[in-house]
Amino acid sequence: MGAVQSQIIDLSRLSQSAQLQIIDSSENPNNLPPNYDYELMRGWSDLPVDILHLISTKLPILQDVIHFQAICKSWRSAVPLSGPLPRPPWIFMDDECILKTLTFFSLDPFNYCVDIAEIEGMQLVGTTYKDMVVLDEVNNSMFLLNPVTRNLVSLPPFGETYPRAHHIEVEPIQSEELVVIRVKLSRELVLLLCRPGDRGWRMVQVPCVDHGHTYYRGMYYVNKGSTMVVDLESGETVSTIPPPVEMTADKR
Amino acid sequence: MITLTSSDGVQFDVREAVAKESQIIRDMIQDDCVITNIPLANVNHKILSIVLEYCQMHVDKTEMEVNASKHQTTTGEGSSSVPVALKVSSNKNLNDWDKEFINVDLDTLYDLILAANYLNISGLLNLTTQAAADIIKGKTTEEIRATFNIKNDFTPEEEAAIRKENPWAFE
Repeated sequence: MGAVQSQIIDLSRLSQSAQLQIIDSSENPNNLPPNYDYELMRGWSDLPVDILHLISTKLPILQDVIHFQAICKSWRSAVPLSGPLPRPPWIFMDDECILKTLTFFSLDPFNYCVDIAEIEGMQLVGTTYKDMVVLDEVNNSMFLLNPVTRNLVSLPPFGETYPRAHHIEVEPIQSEELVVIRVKLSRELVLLLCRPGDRGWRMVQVPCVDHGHTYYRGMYYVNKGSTMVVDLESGETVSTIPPPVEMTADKR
Repeated sequence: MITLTSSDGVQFDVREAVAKESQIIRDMIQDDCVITNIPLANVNHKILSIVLEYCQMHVDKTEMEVNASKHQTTTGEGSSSVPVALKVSSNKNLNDWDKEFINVDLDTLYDLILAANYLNISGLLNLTTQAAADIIKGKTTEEIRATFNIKNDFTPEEEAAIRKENPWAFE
């Protein structure tokens, strides 16, 4: 590709200038070859495109590459990327249960700290598709929090039997609207569903299992050997999928 | 021995193996086996001496390794662990040496990049372009332009459009 091209150019240049130099050196050994203006092209913006490209490939993170192509026209021409590039995701480390400052780790060289006074003392119970779910145990209320816009949306109250934070998990479903909270009780798993703006939660009970449950496209799957498929709109068990044949054979 | 003549007329007598670190010289020697004097029109004596220091060091280290492995084959299997250890330590030393070697001012780095490209010395080209990338990384566009003395040749409209593409990178 680029490197090969420059190699060919260099080779022809070298042999050409080599001949010139041999002629020159017989008469005046200190004379520079007349066809070279390399003293004139002195500047980091004048580097050959394939060298600039090579430098850009050695930059460790995307932000550096985006800076690189914003320096000048020649540097920009050396980078094949153009248009909007996906921002590297932030990683949130939920190492402190009681919230005060949210610290995000980024693939940029920086970490981002977000101070949100409104949620001080609340507990993070999980994340939905795009928001964090925070619980205020003191006032028995739960909110959706967008950490970037700091938008705080109240979720419906739970009533008297308010679950404690350690019983609550948020189902990380790929839905912009639906919030599904799992409340683990001793015998059963209670799913609480709402959409922001609802007045109350809808409750769906499914058998309690440790890990074998998941949400997919409006259905909730609970695996206890065979797999129950629960329609979250109606709360009904739609079907039961038997375990794979090998598994039953193994158990016998 | 081969004589390399810099653009400003200074002659360097080097072993063929050292000169052959350059792909372009390697090709020339292969094409014409009686060649003994190679003028290098694009490299002055200051830069050529630095380039040759690099080539010399890398040839010496490689030859040391070859000798060590020859030693291994002649002395039998019992001593096989020694040359491996030697190789690892010599690689480590060479990396340290490279790091120290490339700790030069920006003008020299620029000339070394061009020389490594012109002479086609892949190890040196990698080392020098990595050094340039290390200087660029973590800097803002203004800092990069100031460091490398680069004029911003975008119009204000062009620059605004570039920043608008990935605004997050300029926060």
